[in-house]
Amino acid sequence: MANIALGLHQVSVSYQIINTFRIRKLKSDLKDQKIQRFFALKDISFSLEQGKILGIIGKNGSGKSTLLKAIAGIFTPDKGEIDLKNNRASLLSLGVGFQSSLSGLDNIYLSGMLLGMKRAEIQKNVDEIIEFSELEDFIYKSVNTYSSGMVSKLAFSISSILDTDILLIDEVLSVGDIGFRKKSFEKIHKIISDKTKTVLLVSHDESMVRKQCDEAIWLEQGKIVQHGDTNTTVDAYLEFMEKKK
Amino acid sequence: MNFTRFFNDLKKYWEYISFASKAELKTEVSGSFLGWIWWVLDPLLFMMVYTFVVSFVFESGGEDFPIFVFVGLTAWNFMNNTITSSVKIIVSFRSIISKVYLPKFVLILVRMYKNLIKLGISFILVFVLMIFFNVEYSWKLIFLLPIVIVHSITTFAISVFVAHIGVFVADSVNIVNVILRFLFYVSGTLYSIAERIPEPFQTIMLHVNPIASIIQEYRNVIMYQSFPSLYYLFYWLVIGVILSLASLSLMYRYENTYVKVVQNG
Repeated sequence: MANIALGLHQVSVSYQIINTFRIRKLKSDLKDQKIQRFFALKDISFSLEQGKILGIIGKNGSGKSTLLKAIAGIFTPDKGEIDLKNNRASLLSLGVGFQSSLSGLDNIYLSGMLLGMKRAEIQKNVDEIIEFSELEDFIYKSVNTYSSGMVSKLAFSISSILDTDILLIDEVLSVGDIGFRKKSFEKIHKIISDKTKTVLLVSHDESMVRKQCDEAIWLEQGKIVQHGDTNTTVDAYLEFMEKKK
Repeated sequence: MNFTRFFNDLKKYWEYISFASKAELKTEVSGSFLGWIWWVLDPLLFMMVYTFVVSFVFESGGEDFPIFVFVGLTAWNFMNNTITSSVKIIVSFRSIISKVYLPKFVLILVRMYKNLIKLGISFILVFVLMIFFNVEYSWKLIFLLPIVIVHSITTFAISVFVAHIGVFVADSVNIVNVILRFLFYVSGTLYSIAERIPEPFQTIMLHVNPIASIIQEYRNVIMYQSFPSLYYLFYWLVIGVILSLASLSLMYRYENTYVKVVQNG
């Protein structure tokens, strides 16, 4: 039996809709609060072996992103336990903390540090990032002057060097023009297939899930409907969606 | 427990705090025509405004009133700017905190570090003004360091608390602004509490309002070549540390629900 990299035990995450309350309507605002509370995740339990790629499928609002955010530590579960076995888990997100008035180079550091990298680590990889981003001399200009394609290229290049044990990917697989899309897809593919990395992949692209993932989870209204072999799970999900139509 | 967690987090995020605060300074500079000159110009111009109002309109203040009010304003601005910008800090960083986990006090330290750099610049100006106003430099200026530390700790405690409140109470900006406006006038920025306020109100003010006591200490050290009151320094150090720990544990307890509140609002 391989190492378990991640274990979830009856994890529930609820959103209390604590909209900020207004002083003028304090009484009614406080009263309404208790009523509105819904569970984005209910009793989720599963474990994942190291190096495996788990696909997560489901409709919009089924709790896929919440699941990733809970594992990344952005939300604390209301109930249950998430055991990371001392692994680092990070959400692959593009352009975290970008400040458009700063240069691309400054943003590499800023964003990289937010993703949990050390300054020295970024320094080591900075040439690789710049090369991958294809920005060349633009890297010294402020991000204000970039086209949106350039911004996403830079963002992707930073995130792609993120060194983490458990990688959480929420639909951020291809950006930029066709050439860069292909390059970034290959990069992601290379990262995902790294046998030491455990990956959770949220995607609406079923063929992508079939191709990349070792196993899959189908979420529906915050609960696991099915967990198992990728093809069987995806088939069941597609059949269900078909029937509903 | 929160104590050790705080120091571990501080160690882990220190690089980010120092880099991000300098980045914010850069952003500020690039957004204006005169850039960093404003950091010098801004306090000097306010010094002139208050000198005009107090010396000419009210015919009060002393000969060295400009430097007197400048020291007061410098100290006041550090605390005021840090607290004001902390109220909505969680909301303004929501795009970051909904993507990565970050101890939320780190955001406050980013702002505080930035304002600390500006405080340093203001102090350099103070040293220059001291020449113009014939104020003697004495070795007691080294006591600026402990005063700055106490100043920072009390500011941090209040900022963390208002940041927590700011997440849940929509009108908190207005409330905090009114309170700060009131505090400005009872902190002795424009007058000397020791000379103008009769007992027992003087003692009460210095015991309940950290900035009043801190401004007084700055002036003692800078303008009058005397020792700071060790009693008040120690008093506010202890209170500052206790309040910091209390508001930190409040923040640690609720910080992962902040995201849920601010991410769509």
